[in-house]
Amino acid sequence: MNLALAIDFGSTFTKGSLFDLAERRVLGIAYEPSTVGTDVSIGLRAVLLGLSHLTALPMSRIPARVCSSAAGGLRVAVIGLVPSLSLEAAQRAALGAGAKIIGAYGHKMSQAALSALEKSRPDLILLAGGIDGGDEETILHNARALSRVQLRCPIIVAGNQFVAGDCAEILLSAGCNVTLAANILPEIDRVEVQEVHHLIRELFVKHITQAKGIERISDEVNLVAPIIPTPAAVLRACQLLAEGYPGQRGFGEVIIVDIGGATTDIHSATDGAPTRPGVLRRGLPELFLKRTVEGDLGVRINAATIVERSGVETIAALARQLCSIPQTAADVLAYVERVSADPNYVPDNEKEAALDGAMAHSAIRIAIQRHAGFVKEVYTGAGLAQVQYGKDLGAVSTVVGVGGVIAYGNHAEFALGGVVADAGEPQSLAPEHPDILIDRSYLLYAIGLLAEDQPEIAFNLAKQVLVSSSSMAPQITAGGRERNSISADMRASRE
Amino acid sequence: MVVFLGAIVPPEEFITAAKESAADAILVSSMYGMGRIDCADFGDKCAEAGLGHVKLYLGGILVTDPEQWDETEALFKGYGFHRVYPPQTKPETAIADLKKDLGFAG
Repeated sequence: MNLALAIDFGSTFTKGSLFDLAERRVLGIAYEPSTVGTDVSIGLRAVLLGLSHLTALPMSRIPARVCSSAAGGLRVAVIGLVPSLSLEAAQRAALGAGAKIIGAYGHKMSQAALSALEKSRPDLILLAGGIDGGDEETILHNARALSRVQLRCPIIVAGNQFVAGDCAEILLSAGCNVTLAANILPEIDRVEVQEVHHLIRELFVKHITQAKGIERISDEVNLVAPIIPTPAAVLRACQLLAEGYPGQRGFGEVIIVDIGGATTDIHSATDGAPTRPGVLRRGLPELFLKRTVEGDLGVRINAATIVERSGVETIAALARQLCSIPQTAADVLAYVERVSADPNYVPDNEKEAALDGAMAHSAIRIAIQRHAGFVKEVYTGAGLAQVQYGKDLGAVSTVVGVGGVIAYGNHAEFALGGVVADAGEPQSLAPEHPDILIDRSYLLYAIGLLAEDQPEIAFNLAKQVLVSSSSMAPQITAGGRERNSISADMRASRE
Repeated sequence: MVVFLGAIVPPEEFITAAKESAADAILVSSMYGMGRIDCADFGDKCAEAGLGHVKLYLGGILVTDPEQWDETEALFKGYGFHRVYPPQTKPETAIADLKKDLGFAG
């Protein structure tokens, strides 16, 4: 046996999974309510206990890889110059490193912007602005502004290299914790995120997991890799599924949709090149690995926003497709009120399950439209031209869905159908004919964690655990119980 | 000093040349009809490149039928151009404006 442990500290659950790498097998999974608010080790010990009967080895000796989105995740504020250029590049860099953007400030920061930033208490600040040899004034102004407020969080300076050192000096002399990085926008048409990603990961381990008390777990488990943000693990899983490993091709272009109670995240591993003939590509170059987070779309806390954005009649009509019992606008509004008040609410009957499916479908539709690029028709002196901004996802081969409403809901396939391009919106570049897979066992984070040094095993495990929506869930046991009983436990603890 | 960049020049090349030569103004003549695509973020790109102070002029084939000139002018001014000229404008007009804008007007 060659065992491996993967652990995810989430905001609601601490999840653990045990693998036999030699056999390429999932031995078991366990969930416990998160204890990050008190002592992270309590939930962890409970998870380890739930897996301990699967092996004679002490759990503390099994190589463990860990990710965390607990205690608010990695909350980053980004500062840049032009919103569509350096600020956009900074946001993409932070999101790609697994961050949650809690503030984005373009141009010279005003006193009001500075106060808002201070109040938001970020875990980290990414300060960008100006291409190399370009604008100096704005990033210097912003460094001086930051030096005047009491911020304890680390600051990464990743702007115009001609003055980045001066910015660091200004901040250092004010007692700030500063790290210099290469410019994320070295040229007007080039985005460079590698070094910033690397630094964010380092700072996450050094400062952020400590500040949130997560580093204490090193006494309980045999950590063999640095703790990373959970979204970074999911993005790594997306890359592995798309690219495969040496000697094995991946699935091609892949999207992971993660829909929760408060947010909907879309991850894509695609170059986004035009699939339509004669289309010109413009705008900031896209990264192969892209992550967007929709903070206004979630099936519980943000249920009302989904209904507001899609229209109550649309949600009712979608729900009617899923359930023989008629659904009215009033039913939709009553359900929204119920689930907004109780974010852990689990549907009780066929009608409620249909409403969840309809809301998830709509949330995913809006989220994919925001993630995907679009085509704009421009009349030029040379005739009508089609210009593409952002990624064309038309050729995406596989969409993987994850999240409570996907894993445990009755209408996962219908909900994920929200990614498919809508004939009524020809300008949107959403996937045309993707295969749909579901992460029923909540193992994508583990696939991403294992992908780093065991890509072959991680890829083959993914092929086992990701199921097409019509097929049965994989047979994974934990605590001697069939997997579904674990989900029943989750439902019980949510209720 | 005038730096001539030639034909079919992407915005990035204008920006690089303007930085290199510490230009006071960039004059773009869009003749191949793609101005609406290539100039859409010209002003933003100049700002990021530290060329926010540089005067941006645009002329050439900009109007598309049946658009009125004032609509075309407003569109390109929205892209960051300070002066936008209709077809048939004489070079002398732009030169006179340039002198005025740069404070050389005698």
